[in-house]
Amino acid sequence: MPFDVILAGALGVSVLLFALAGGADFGAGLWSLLARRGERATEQQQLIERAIGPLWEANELWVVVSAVILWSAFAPAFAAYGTALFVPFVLAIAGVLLRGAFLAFRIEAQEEAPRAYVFFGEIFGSMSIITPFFLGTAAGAIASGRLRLNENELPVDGYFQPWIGPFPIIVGLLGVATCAYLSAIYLTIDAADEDPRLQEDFRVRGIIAGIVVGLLGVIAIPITRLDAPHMWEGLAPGRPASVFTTIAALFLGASLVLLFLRRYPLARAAAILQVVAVFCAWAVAQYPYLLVPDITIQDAASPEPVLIAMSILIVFYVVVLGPSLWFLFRLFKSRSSARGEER
Amino acid sequence: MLENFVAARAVFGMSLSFHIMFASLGVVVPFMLLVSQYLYLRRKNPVYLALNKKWTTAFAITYAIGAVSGVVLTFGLGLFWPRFMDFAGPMIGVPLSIEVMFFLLEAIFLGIYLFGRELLSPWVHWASLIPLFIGGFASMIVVILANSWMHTPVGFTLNQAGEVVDVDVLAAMFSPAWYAMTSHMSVAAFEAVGFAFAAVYAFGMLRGRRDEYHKKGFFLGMVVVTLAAPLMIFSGDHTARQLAQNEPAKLAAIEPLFETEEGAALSIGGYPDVEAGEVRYDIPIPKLLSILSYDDPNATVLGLNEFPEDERPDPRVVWWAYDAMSGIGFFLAALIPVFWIFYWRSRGVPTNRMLLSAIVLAGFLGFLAIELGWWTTEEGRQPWVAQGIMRVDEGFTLAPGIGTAFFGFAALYVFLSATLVWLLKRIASGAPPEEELEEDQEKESEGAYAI
Repeated sequence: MPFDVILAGALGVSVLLFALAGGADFGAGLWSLLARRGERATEQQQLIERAIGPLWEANELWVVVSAVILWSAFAPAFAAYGTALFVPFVLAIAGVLLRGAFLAFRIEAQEEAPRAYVFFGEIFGSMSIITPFFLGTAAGAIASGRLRLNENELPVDGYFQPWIGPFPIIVGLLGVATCAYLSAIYLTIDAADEDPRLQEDFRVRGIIAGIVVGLLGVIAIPITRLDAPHMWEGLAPGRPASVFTTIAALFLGASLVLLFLRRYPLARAAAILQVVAVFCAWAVAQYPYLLVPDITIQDAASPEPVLIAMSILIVFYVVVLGPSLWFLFRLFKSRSSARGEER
Repeated sequence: MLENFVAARAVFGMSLSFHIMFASLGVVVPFMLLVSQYLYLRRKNPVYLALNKKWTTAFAITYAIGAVSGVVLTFGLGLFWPRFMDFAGPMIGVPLSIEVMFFLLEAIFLGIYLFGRELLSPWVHWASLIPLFIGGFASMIVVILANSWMHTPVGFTLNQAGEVVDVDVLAAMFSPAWYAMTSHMSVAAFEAVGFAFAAVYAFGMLRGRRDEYHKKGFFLGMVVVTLAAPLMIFSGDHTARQLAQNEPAKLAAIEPLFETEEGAALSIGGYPDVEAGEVRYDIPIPKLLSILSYDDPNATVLGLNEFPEDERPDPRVVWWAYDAMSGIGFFLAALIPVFWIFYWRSRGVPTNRMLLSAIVLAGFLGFLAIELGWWTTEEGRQPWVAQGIMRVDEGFTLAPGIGTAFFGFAALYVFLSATLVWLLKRIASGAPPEEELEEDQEKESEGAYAI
């Protein structure tokens, strides 16, 4: 397989890992923000901090991996994204900056400055919603074909029209809902060591968020047809990518049923597979474009030696980071998920 | 509103000035944690444990800010400098991708270290600092490899249309300036952070806290700078020679040297009068510049007159920063023998108020020198974004609203800095009471660890 396609695959995997790991942390921010009333609001917030505290920095950095693969291997695409989608990307990284800093402030403030703790939480929570929404709209703009470049590689329709439209916005909303849905399911397992009512809280939230994801997915169907014709060609019934959308729908349903039955680890597996299937559908439908319809993987690929070096580096990523991540998750997640199995 | 060109430079300069402090802490604090926890585990003195815990708390916050401001910079390269990245991505992308790998390694083990104190046995917990330190240190080195390429860009071929056609990945990574830049920054980080640590405890001692906790914290900082400061002299010297060889325009601007000279003098202070093409009111030291640059008192040093007028860095922008950085460097180096003389005379950590005040000042000056040095090297590269290949005004974004983004980010950084300082002051509550020290030690030695 040619190196440019391998690296495009690695790019897709890094975005997927960001969604599954970092995205869920952003979703946790949303739940933290919504936990304001009710007797267990504080317990919910503290559970969220314990669950994501050790992991959020590593989880968030997957999006940086996507960025460096893009600029090393597909520099022209990175330049085009950065220019035409300047506004959503700036808002997304401002969100990353604020929510990360204030999550760290908040964790330390709990003991050192209890009154600031609440205020820091508001910033962490609200900024956690901004990032997935704007990254989603940017992704929607890239896939929709709304973003066209002129001969100077500048956007033909200005800097807002490409991403303020039905398809980018529905993708942004789906992004936020998916983060919330993943997060709630993960938190049911993190809550296994705690008050059973806390686990119940996140079970209900997971079911609600899953239903919202399903509804948004249904709404997205006609929008895709109208606003993202190239994607529709790949995703329409009978097309190759439609296999994955069907699988995604089935896993979404399965995860909701499993949540209802309180089979949390299985529900988590189904939710993860649902997101993987959505990404596969997306990747197949968008292939071979990095920017529909003006930039393909091949157009944007760097000279061969760079692609080879980057491919070798991907191997190092796996060898160095794989065991480290395994250790991190084993240390902080294995005990609570073992408890989850027992119930 | 600001012009795009100015705004893109301002927003990036500001973001890097902000990030560079946290990045330096991210490299050196893990080292301080390694040392303090090692001393605790070996000597069983709870004061080292208390220091280690306090530093861990502070590091959790400064690291987070370093990480998120790093994310801003990663995306920022594409957002503010898309035309530069379009051209340079293939060459600097590989070191930056390696950097991200080490960055992730650091983040993973930071999570393990921060939250693993009760889960890991003490020595395993200590050992988790090793990949944390390696991750931080290596990511600093490789990110400067990418930066050094901008100063001495090599390792590629341009075709007729000005497109990059052939890339030698390793040559581009290890461009001529790589060694001077990476070593200079590494040593600077250790020196500045070491002084900052010493300064925190010197400040506490000035306010009457003369306990073992403050003395030990102060002393550990001074040990680190004692190792770093002599290296800094070699590194500075090496850097000057590297400049003479590979970046003569920058050397001429920071000196400043308007006309090419045989046996050039080193000028200290003064003011570069660009219109008249001469330096006024300086103290020249004959032949020293030639000696420093080429080890030869009669060597010819190129002046700014060798370069076309629109390809000269402006000496007024860099000369003062360079002089101030070197001045601080010598001041910091001079403090070290003074400290040890006091240490020897008072048979232990000195409590002389003058010395402590000077070290508190040094805590600020070290970071100031990092900023000034960075300013010198990047402003001395102007007007090029990639020396001799691409001008800065060919690299910035054409998207609108960059001025707004500048003011937005400026407000964010001010807000973050203010909150950070406030929170760190809350955390810097002095030594924990005796009973707490003992309790902590008992908890540490109980042991019901996962690993």
